Amino acid sequence: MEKELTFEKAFKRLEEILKLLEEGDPELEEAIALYEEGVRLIQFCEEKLKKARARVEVILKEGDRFRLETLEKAEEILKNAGK
Amino acid sequence: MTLWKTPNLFFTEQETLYFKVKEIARNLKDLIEKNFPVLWVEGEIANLRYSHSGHVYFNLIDEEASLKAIIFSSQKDVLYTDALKNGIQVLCLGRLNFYPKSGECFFIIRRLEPVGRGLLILKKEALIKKYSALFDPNRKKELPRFPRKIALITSLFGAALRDFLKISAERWEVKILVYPVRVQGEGAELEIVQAIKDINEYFRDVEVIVITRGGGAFEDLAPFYTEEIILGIKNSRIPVVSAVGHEIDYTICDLIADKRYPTPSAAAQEILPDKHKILAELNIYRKKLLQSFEQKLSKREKKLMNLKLQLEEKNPFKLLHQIETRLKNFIHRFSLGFERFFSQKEKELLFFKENLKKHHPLQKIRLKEEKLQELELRLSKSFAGFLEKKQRELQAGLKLLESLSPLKVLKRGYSMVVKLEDQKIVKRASQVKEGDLLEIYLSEGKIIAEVKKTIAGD
Repeated sequence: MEKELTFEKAFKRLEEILKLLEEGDPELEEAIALYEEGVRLIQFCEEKLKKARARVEVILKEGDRFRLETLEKAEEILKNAGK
Repeated sequence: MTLWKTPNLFFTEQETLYFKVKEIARNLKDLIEKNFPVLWVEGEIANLRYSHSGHVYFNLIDEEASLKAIIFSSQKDVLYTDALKNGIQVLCLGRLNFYPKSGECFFIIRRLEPVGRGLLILKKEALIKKYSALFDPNRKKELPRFPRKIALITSLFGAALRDFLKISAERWEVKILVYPVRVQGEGAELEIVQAIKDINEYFRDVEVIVITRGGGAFEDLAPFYTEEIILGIKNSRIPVVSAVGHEIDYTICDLIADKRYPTPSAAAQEILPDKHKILAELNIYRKKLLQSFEQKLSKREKKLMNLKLQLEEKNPFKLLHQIETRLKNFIHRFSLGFERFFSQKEKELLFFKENLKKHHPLQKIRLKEEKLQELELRLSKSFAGFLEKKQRELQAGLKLLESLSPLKVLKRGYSMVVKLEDQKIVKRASQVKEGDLLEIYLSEGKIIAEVKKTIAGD
């Protein structure tokens, strides 16, 4: 479960937990578990966000095949190709 | 002037300057129709009207001249018939027809191409009309809230890409694939459509496709006003965002896309969440989480406390203690009352005793005893006298009785007859009858006899 955890899943679950705690009436043990899970999810999301940045690649089509290149390299290739 | 300079021509061929209307009309018809077989004419539409029969009439005009034009209803090839407007610049293919009856010359249009801005407006309206169902807002796909992979369809060398990347660089954890295409010029729409297709097919984990280019001349935006763009975007499984062209003017691409933004920068801002905003949101969530958790906790605590209190109230020891206290109380009160009662009674008793002492009867008793003794004495005295007197009387009575006793008579030889039946003394014979049993008392013993016969006396 933890391995597949994505930001979106974590965030959604977090909102779900908040809703459960704010509107639901969970057992005490469940409330504790929910709280702990919520804190873990917040940490997870924060970690992910702190490192967040965009990574750019360019799709180059060669016949029916595709190749991914960095922006700089792709620019060079396409310039030379006269596009 | 030309006519006058070449009179010979007419004279030699027709030999006269006199024409009938139909002759000159026929000549004009020939002249016009043969000299201008098929031609392209550019002009602005004016005085546009639609006839009942479905033909379209308008004037093609420019600054100096005007030409009457018709699109016949049978001319199905003309695309924009329904969307024509006065003031629009069009390029028309057709031929000139002269109508002898009205003496008018008409441009019969076979093809019509809007040009410049008019072209785009007309194309847009015609395409919207044709594919109106595809522009339904309900068809629009939702964009993911936190996209991980997006694809940009744009020119690799345009400002649009740079603008987009500048905004997105530090904004969000995202992979951006750039699919380079031409964004203007003939056939650019085909490249864009191919890119949409390729991304859908080969880059299936892409969550949003962004078609973008910077603003430009209207002619430059022509690829984004095409049928191909409509169908290409319609067929995309992945949501498509359009950020093409101008702030005010929506291209067909903008309208068919699932989402439209005015500029590449705006698109980047809207598609990619801002991590700083989300971090702030997470902070709020952290507070909310703690708050609601503590609320739950304090709620439980309160409940627990209440239960404890309730339990305490029902504690059997406490109950027992209560009963004990009440009992003790009761006993105490009881003994107090009891004591009070007794002391009261004791007091009363004492009072009675005193009272009794005061009214002791001994004195009376002595007095009465004395009287009693006296009375006793008197009684015994008087009784003895009485007894003596009675004894004397009795003696006298006895002597009298003895002298009168029938037994004494019997001793003298008399007997006494009694009827056995009723013990009545028989004094007369008539008292008995024959057969009666009689008892006869003698001086000594008695005889039982039977009456044999009665003899009455006198």
